[in-house]
Amino acid sequence: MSIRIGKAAEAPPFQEAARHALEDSQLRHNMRHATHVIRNKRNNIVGELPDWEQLRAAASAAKAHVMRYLDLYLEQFERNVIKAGGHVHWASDADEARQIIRDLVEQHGGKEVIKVKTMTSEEIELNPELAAHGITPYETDLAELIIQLGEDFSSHFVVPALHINHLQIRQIFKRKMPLEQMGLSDLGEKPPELAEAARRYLREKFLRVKIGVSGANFAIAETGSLVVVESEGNGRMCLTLPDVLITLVGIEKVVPTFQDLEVFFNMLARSATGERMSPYVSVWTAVNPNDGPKEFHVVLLDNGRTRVLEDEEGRQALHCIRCAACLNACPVYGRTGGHAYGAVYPGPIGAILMPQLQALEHSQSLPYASSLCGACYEACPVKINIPEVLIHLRSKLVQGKQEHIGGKLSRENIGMKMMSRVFQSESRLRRAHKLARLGQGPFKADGVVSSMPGFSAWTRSRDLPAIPKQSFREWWRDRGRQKRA
Amino acid sequence: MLVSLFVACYNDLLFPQTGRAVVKVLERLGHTVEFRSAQTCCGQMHYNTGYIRESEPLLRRFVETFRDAEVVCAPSSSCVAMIRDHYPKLAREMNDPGLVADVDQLVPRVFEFSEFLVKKLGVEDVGAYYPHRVTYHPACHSLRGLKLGDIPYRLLQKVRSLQLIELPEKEECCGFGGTFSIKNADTSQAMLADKVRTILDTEAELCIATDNSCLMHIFGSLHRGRTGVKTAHIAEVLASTEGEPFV
Amino acid sequence: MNNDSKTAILTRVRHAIGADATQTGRREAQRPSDWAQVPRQYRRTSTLPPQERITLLQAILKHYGATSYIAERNNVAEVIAHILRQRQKQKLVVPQEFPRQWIPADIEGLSDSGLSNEALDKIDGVLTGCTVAIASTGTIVLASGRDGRRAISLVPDYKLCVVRQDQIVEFLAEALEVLQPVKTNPLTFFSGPSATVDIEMTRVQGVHGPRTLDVVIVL
Repeated sequence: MSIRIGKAAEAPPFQEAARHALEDSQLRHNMRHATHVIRNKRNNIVGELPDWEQLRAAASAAKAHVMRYLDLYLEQFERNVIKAGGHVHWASDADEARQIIRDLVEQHGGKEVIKVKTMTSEEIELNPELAAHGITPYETDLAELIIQLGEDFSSHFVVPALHINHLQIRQIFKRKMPLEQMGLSDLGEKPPELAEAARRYLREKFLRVKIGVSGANFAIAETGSLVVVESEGNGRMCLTLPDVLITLVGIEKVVPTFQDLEVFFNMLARSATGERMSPYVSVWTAVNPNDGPKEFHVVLLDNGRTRVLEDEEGRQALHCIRCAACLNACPVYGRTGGHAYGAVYPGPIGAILMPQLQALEHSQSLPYASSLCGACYEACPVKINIPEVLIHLRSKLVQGKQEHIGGKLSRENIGMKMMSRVFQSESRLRRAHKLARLGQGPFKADGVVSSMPGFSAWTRSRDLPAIPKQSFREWWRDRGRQKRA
Repeated sequence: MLVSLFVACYNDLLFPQTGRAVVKVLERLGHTVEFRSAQTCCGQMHYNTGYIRESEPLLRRFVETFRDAEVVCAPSSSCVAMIRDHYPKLAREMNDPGLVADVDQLVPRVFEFSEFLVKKLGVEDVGAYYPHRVTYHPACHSLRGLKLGDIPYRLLQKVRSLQLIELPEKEECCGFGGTFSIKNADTSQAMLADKVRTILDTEAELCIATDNSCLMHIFGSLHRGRTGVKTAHIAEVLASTEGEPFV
Repeated sequence: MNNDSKTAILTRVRHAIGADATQTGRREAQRPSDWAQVPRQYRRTSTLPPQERITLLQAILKHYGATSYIAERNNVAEVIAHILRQRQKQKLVVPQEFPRQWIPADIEGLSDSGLSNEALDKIDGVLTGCTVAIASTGTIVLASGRDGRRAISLVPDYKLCVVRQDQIVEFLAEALEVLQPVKTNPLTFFSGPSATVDIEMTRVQGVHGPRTLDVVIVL
């Protein structure tokens, strides 16, 4: 079974990718503006609710409950989908999921599909697969459309084109859309004009294409229903107008009952876009004789999720409802943007999910892409303790390294073991203090060290305070002696 | 009260003046301070970097050193957050029921310095005097870990002649994050640049915090940039009096 | 369908959570009480009187850029007629379940007997009732089978929705209770007209779906 998720295996380590991203001043500006806007909206709209913490407690407990009974809930979900006239497919990995979806489209002789944004389809790299087999996938989310036409990659899973500004969008539309045919040969740069261009470009596809592919925010075990939360209306188009609907959903998206939505509906839009509710929420159950597609297929995706489930501490990452509040709160993501993570899920949640999905074989630099400030945990509507899981993954990576001679002899490992030894003895500590004071001697001037061998990662941009002549414990010992004297 | 000082490993070596300031304030308030020299390090750096096994002996040593202390006070919110949030869990992972009991009994007696003054001693006015423009940076561990809230502000408001200026975007991390500042030096520096910019915008003469780890990072840039703005631990401002002003 | 993968996945799940296939009966019996342990201290019941619920709903609809009107039971058709004249809408699709007495006389109310997408695309707008409205979030919920099939509230560019006072609740939890009998019907929750924030976080109205929404609240 493949362990690769997207291009994570080939992505450069975060430190390297971040360095380049930080130098892109356009990106820096876009990221700062976007994350600050959403963050403020989110804080205001959450501040409106006196029972936000109670909602968080319920959401967290409900998700933990689902994981404890996940097998039973998945089986119940399947039974109810079938009872309501739908079909259920199970995909162990991305290869299998792609195959299932491709087969379904080919069985119906489809050459085109309309897609409503789903990160899961990016995770399994569905679009290239379809295109390689003569099937054209049309992204219909404005942001995904921009990404698709601009041959770019998503950098945020709620606002994927957050790293692109309106001028850049206009350029993409001018290059790739048949604007003259659409009656928009003098396309302006204001957002409403760009939205109008997207509307016209997509409308004829909605009314024509017969197969739709979607994801889902929630899968309800009690009824076999699915839920899609969206702002633009393209989701409703793809869920309602085609003849055949295929929904791809991760197995962790299951919730027990229709009633459980009362918690998540209250939290998702507030956390994701700072709105009380997203403009449209669609709930549907397989097929309905008078309304919507005649045929419905749901593809349940594992692709490493059972691996995450195995880790008692790490499995809380599966509670994620993909609101991206952690991305918006994160001081690291807010400066480097999503591409630096080299992963389909970036930001704090990506840093704990990506390595686990891939059995810690890839995305190994991501657990270190954090100062552990805790802003993500504070923002998370389902109370995923991201800092704790980051430390847990760091410990697994360290243990992994310590099992090989190369890791054992690494500077970091030796240094850490040495320091632990020093801290286990008062006399060793005092000796270490003296050595450090001596060692820094030639490099200090006016109480400061500006450069010192081995410390360049710090000193190339920051000064270091020099070690004072007397440590605290030495001062205390002298004071004691003076008092006795 | 007999207060057992846990000065924190980095303060011991790099910022002894912070320890001295804590002693001064507590003695001024009429308490006795003891310093158990067996103390070394709480193990946070190892733990956060993923060297859990290597942090376990440090947990043991901390517990052995302070097991029978009446109360422990530390001028480091990151150390206290390590002890409060992670020691109980780590002790359980070490499969030592005696140790777990010791940790569970000790943790409630461990305080960060500013919360010790306000919550344990019930004191906000410590008799301090510091006639300068000061801005306060809430360290992430103090803000989100220990949830100190307005405790530091209440203490600073009682410092005579001190002019406290609110730091814009104060809840943003300064970018230190322990080994993060080395492993991800570029991102760390980018975060620091924004923190320094907001500090300079306040036109304060001094930036203070409950943690010298953040302050060391902030100092690194304020000094390199020849900004003239200084950094100090909140204890040093609270220790300052007319007779013995903090400089 | 692909039972090998289903078995493999479920086996992995059970292994991951430390559950044995033989324990299934016992766990199935425990499941409901475990679910009942989920703490639900958030607000689930309204204390807001009906008039205040109306005011709240109207305020949030206005915030979304939707216009709302008040009508009495005996002048609903008049109010609707007035709005449609102002909007210059003449030909609308109306679900079969919509009360006949509320359709203004001079409006061409097309009954939705499986109108094609192309036909819906050319129509002036859609007129429906609703199943429940949520004041605290400005949400109106339509259930297929009661409020018309989904396509009619999707393809036309203009929508007028009639909400009875007794259909307005304050909280989402209350709305979901109202929806229990129709929870497996296709449901659509509308909270303002279509919008996007994908262009530099600027909220832009009306990408797809009706760009203009009018609401009539019947006392």
